[in-house]
Amino acid sequence: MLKKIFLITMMTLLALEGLSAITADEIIKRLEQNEGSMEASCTIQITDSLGTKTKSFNYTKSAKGDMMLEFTNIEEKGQKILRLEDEIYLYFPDAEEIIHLQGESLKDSVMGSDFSYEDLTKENKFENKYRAVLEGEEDIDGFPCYKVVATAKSRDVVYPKQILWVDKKLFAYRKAEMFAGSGKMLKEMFVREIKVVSGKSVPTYMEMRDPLKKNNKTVFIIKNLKVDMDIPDSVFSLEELSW
Amino acid sequence: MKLSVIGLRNISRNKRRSILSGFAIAIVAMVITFMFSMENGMMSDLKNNVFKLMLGHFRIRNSQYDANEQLNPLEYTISNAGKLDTLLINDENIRAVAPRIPFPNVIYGSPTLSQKDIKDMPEFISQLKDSNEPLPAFLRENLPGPGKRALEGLSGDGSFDKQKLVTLMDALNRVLTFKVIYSPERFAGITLPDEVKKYAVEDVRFENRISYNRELLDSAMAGLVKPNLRGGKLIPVMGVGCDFVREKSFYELDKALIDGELPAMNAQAREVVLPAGLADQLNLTVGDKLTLTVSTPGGLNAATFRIKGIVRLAISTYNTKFFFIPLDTAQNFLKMDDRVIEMLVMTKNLDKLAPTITSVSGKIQDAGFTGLTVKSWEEIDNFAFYIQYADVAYAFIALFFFLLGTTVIINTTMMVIYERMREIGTVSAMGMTGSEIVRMFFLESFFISVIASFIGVVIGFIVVLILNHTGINFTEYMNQLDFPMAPIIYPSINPLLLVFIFVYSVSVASFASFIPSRRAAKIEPVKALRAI
Amino acid sequence: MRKGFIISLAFKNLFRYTRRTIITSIAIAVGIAFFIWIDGWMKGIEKESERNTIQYETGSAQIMDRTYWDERDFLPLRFTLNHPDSMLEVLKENNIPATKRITFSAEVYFGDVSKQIKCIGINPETDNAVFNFKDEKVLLPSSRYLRANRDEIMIGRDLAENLGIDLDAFITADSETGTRPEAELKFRTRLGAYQTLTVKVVAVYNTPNPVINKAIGMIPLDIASSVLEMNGSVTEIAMLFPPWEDVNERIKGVAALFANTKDDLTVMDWKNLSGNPNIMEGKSKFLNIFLFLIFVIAAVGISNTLLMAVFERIREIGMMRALGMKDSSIRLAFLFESAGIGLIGSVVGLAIGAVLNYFMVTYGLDFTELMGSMDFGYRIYGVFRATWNPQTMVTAFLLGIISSIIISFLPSSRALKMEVTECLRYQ
Repeated sequence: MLKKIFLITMMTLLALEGLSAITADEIIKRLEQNEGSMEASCTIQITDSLGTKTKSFNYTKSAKGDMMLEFTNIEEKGQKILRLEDEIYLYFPDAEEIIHLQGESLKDSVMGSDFSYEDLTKENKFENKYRAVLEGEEDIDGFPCYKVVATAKSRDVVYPKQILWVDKKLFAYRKAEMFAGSGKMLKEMFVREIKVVSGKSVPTYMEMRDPLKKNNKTVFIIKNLKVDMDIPDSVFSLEELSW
Repeated sequence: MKLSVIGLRNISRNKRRSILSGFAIAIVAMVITFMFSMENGMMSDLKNNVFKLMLGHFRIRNSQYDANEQLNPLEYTISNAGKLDTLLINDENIRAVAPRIPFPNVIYGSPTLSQKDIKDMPEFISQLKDSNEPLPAFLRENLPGPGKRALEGLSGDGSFDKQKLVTLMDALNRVLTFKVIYSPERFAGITLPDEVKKYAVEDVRFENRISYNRELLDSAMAGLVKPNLRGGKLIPVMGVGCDFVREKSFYELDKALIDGELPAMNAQAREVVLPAGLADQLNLTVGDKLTLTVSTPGGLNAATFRIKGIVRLAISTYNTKFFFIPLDTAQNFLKMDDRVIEMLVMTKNLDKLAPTITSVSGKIQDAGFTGLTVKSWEEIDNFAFYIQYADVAYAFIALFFFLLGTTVIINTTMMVIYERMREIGTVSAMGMTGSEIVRMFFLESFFISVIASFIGVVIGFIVVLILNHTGINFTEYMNQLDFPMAPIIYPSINPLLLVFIFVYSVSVASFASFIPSRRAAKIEPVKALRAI
Repeated sequence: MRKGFIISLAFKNLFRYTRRTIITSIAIAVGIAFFIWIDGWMKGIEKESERNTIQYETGSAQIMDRTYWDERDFLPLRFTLNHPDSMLEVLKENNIPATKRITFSAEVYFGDVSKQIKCIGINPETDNAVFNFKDEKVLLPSSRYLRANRDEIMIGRDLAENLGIDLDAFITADSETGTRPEAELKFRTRLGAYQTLTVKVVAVYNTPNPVINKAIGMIPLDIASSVLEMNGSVTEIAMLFPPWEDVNERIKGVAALFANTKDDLTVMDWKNLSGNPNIMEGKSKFLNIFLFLIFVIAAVGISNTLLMAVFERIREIGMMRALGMKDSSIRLAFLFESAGIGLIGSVVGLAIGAVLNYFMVTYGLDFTELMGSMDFGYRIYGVFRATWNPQTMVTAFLLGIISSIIISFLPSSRALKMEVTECLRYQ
């Protein structure tokens, strides 16, 4: 009898093990499979002690990672950010020159958000930057998720530690927390909406918060999403803009 | 005989002695007059600069801006600035108002070609016009229409039409921006330094073209074009958006203009006034362009500005770190609508500053403005302190002068009287009483000092008047000076002070006569007669 | 005629006309004393502002990486001095007090308030060799200077106020056992990763340099080094040179010491390093005019009394000539006499000036009362202090003697041109 119970327990455990045999690396891989070329119009609402500012831009990304942002809100209308490999170029409608961002100015915040230009340059694969460990499963907003703790492999990663909650079905973030080297949480991100387009899951409504500051929130909304299309290389150039 | 007549006669009798004694008094009076006028000139210059350049008599800002001043937070503004401006300018106690937007920003070290980058303009123009070398020919052929016409209109005699030159430079920069100037045949005869060789590429991405072209051009035309001083550098500077008409009572840029002109309000024109020091540092001149990048609360912005005027400013920080753009251009550039950062206010009467501030603050609140701070210049930073510090220091210097002057006058007067011991003996032997002797010498000193002080004060005053007109130039001392004091000081003096100095010298000299004469009067005539 | 005779004649004359000698030397003495006093005072003002920059902001000079210097406005941690300890060793061998520092930008959070500040990692053991933050006058009551290897910060009074730290509570609490406010620093490491550090505010300083009181915080160097992952490198080495030495010469010397290192270094003096307006600098240049004016008055005083002394004795000159004394000897006698008066005046003036200056240097003149009720926070603001300026003292001394001689030359030669009879008749 005891033997039987032992066997059943063992088998159940083994079966469970077999069922959840997915590893953290695989989760990250599945996450990244959802990336690719993409076109969308985006809106960012930045709320801080001064009130809320809204920016909108069209976003185009090639399969190999080149990227172009074109702002459409009134204040920044016509401004563009181009990322080519590791270089950042800025185009401003009133400037007759293209600004090649170099040195310390890469640390400036992009449009008052929590991102710096430098953050945009390093399109390094997550798996190259972090060592991920699966730490169990948790429900986020009622969705079952994998909890993945990722620790930076090198010292030059912006956030030395991240905890990700990845939707078990869609393999997209539901929640993420970013930490400083000291372990203090610096950013908290909730994904409120995930859309599946052409088989790819893309978070389309995100909220971010800086826990060190009060009254701040950044909302990121993606609309008119298109994925997996061929985008000609000429798009990722500021050449057609002339004055 | 009246004592005063004797005194007067004594003066003319021994002219040499009288002149000596008078000379000392006159010099002291003159020097003190001059010293006061210098102090006065320096203090008023100091105050003027603090008022005009930095603070006004009082200043209005968003309270939050004040609290975070060192960050220059452009999000804390005065909204509805037009209304506030009208309110202030209509106040009967206010003389002038200057709305300003100071903003920290960075000059993007542009690789474009400026007029000053060209070492030998006549030769450069003539090569561009006539040379059949492949590179100049290529540049010429690719010039856009207006640039070509401007080039044709430029004669080779060295005196160029400024407007045409500007058009040509714009056109050249367009070529450098859009075209790839490198091709093996165009650079066939040209040896490039190793570090430039990497720019010799025929399919350069558009984004990098101008910087590549500039490197190539600099080496290919090394005899004519200076290497780019600005390229790749980010130069932090302070911009000020201001109303150039209003600034006539503040920055006085109209007086400081040395080249070009001050831009009019026109946000679309994007024109900038550079101080001479910054223009030299950047190798730019009127007509050249520069690109500025700025962090606005909403994010980065950049724009290209044309240099419309160059000013020479007295204070070195302003001359190397500041530039000026029209207020509306700044508002447009910084996305500030009609808002401004600060309003500097000059009152009609500085003595009534406190009541004026109280009444203006009340009016501002009544008009519905909230969150603003009205600060008098005395409350801002430590300027009031430094000015007071200077005031005390000057008062002390003045005291030194009076002490020293007093010693000199007393000395001279005493010598003059002691020298005349025998004379005193004679007159007292003749029956003049002691008090009469004292009075005689007193009157003598009094007459001398009246004349001498008058001459001294008048000469001093004339010198001050002349220097007030011409100024005393300290420029060579002042290269690295950051204190708000101009290198040219205009001495000036308060007429009341002149009267004071006159009275001072007369009284010191007259009373100084008491010491020796009273002693002399007490001596026995016989002893006095024996004195040497 | 023998020189000895002339000198003794001059000497006798000095004492024969005691009163005149005294009056004339007083004129000289007063002029020289004032000259020395004012000069020391003006130099003191200049030195004071120089000291405020050097002691609290820059040191006399700093060594840094050349690219760091070019981009210093952005405080780039990528361009650092990689072997600071061996450099400090070299400086020590050359008897130059020096300390290493790491300057970085950080955001400081206190309660609901956050501010961008410049944070400096300082070595609590050696920083005081160059800077002056350990001074009791600088630290607010109940402050304690930083200790190595502890998570603590020292901030300026203005910053403390801006952050909303309760300073009344701070200065009354016990520096060791009392509760100290805690702040959070957020910054990026040398390699770019985010990092935070919770620090105790152990000290609030209030220096006479307003810039330093505003947006600057200081933490122990070893803490800064480890949280920023500096790997032993620092952004700068600050040095202190003796005040009497020429900074430029010193800089050349220091640069030569490190000429053979692989790193591209630059040595900058405090004038270049301090970006803020140097309030009093150059003002003393204007004040040279005042010194000149003082000299004019003093010279008039001296010349007048001397002129009179000579004119008065024209008859005496006539007598001496009538007795067959040579003109050159008479002139010499007068010159010696004047020189004697000049010497007495100069010695007395120098002594008075030195005493005045001594009091100005040691105690200063306290004008705090005169300056009104304004609270400038720092005691020294209201106190004028002088400095020793031996060069001026020597100049003034020699000037006193030489000008006396020159001034007496004129009237005595006039007297010598006159006929003997005329001299004798002279009134």
